[in-house]
Amino acid sequence: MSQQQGSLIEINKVAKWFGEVVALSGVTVSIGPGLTALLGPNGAGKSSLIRILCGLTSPSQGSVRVMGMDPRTSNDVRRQLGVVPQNEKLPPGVNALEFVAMAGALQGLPDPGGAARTAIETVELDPDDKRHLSSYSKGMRQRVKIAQAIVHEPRILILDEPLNGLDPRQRSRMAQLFIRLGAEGRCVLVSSHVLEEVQELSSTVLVLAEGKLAAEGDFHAIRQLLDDRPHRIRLRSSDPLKLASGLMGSATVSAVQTAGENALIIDTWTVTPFRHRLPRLAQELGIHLLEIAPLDDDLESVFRYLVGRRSA
Amino acid sequence: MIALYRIMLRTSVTRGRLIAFLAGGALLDLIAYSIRVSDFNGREVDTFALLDLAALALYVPVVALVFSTSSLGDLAQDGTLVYVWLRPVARWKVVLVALAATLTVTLPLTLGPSWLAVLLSGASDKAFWAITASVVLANLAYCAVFTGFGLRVRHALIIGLGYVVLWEAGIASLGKGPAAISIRHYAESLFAHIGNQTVPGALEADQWPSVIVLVAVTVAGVVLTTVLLTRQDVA
Repeated sequence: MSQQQGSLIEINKVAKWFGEVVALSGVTVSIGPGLTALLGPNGAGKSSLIRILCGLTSPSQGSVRVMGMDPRTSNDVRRQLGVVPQNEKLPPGVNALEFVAMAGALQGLPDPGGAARTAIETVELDPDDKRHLSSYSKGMRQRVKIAQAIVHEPRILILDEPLNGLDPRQRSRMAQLFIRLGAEGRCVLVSSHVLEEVQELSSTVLVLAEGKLAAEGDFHAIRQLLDDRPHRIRLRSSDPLKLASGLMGSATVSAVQTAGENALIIDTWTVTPFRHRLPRLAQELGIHLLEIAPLDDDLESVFRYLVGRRSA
Repeated sequence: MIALYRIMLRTSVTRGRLIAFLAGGALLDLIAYSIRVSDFNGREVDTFALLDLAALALYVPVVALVFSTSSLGDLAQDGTLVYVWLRPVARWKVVLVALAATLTVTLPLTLGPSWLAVLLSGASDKAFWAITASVVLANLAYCAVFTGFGLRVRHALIIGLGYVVLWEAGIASLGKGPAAISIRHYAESLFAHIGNQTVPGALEADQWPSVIVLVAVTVAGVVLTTVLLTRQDVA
């Protein structure tokens, strides 16, 4: 496979299965310099894809090239690769400076101690902290993992849920760091299952769901896709039948059904106009709204919809 | 590689392991001292029997098993191997560093009590040189084999203990056939030859073939572990 213009990572029809379980199926995508977010719910196959990209495991089918080479075997790739794995565990009995300096030394840096200090300070930790990593909080461990990934200033950074466990301030600072690294021309791939996190990080998004690439492109186009779908909402009110008849005449609602005492379930394709129309309608009819609950607004159902839409 | 060596050493040496094996070594020395005070005429023979049965058959392989299965095995099990595996370092170097870190612990832990046992029992210099050579080579062979075993096999410590007790200390003593595929019996043969003593149940292999086999097992263990590490799926 020839390397596409500007892309550093080429994934071609990659599938991965573990026995009967299919983790990835027919994923084809190119990733170039800059920050790219890999979005998907838990179990979507993000970590499997990341492990394949790093060479930690082989694809069951298809091929992956990083800088035109096989990441499973190439030390040239490893020289240019920084990885934050999802696993929280860090070696016991060592402090942050020793751990990050070991990473620098194994990368062949001339001054691993100095590089480790710089990397640890970049993630806003204290390189002179002598405590063992086992005594660090989850957020501190996460930042140590980021430090060991950037210590050798790699050309490609792959980060598996790197913002997990960080408080909002740290999350924002680390997101800014990733954006800066991407703006410097590095290829930065950040996985997440949180839509808002991705919104802050990147304009380029890959959506992975049920092991398949469900969508890819600009964040706003993905956001539009996520919104432009049928929504199902449960309404509880003081007079459900009166509300149902009022809704039937509304252009924002495609279906209405009763659902037990005081409750209706409505389907709408235009959720924002519906949200504006509903309180006014209730006021006009003299009805009290007791509950408005989206029934399919979790990311998993959104991603399922995207997968179905792409394969239809 | 020195940084990796230091981290591997620190992660494998725990207080609990050290205390357990120092206690085991002290027990060996206590028995050796009891030989001195109770059996003046047969102390050389009894010391050789003790070092064979307690040190070579059990203590050395168990110490090697515990530390070498954890050197790379613990990293693979807890997911921290990724921090070594993703670096541009030749796999054989990683294996040799793991082996060096393991031997840094196992050699003092096994040679110390063995030397002290020779001293306390009042045995000759021959016993000293015999136990030194056989313990060093047995350590090399066991550690090389168990490092790869720990990397590849879940619950390697439990399965390895079964192997040491059932095979090395048990079945391999039943005849020359099983003894020929037992690390212990080559170490035992070397021990008997250098010490110029008869060790009951020894394979009776010559000195240099025993050395060659133990060195070959060490090299094969390193090569096999390198292959396993290269092909390993890393979590």
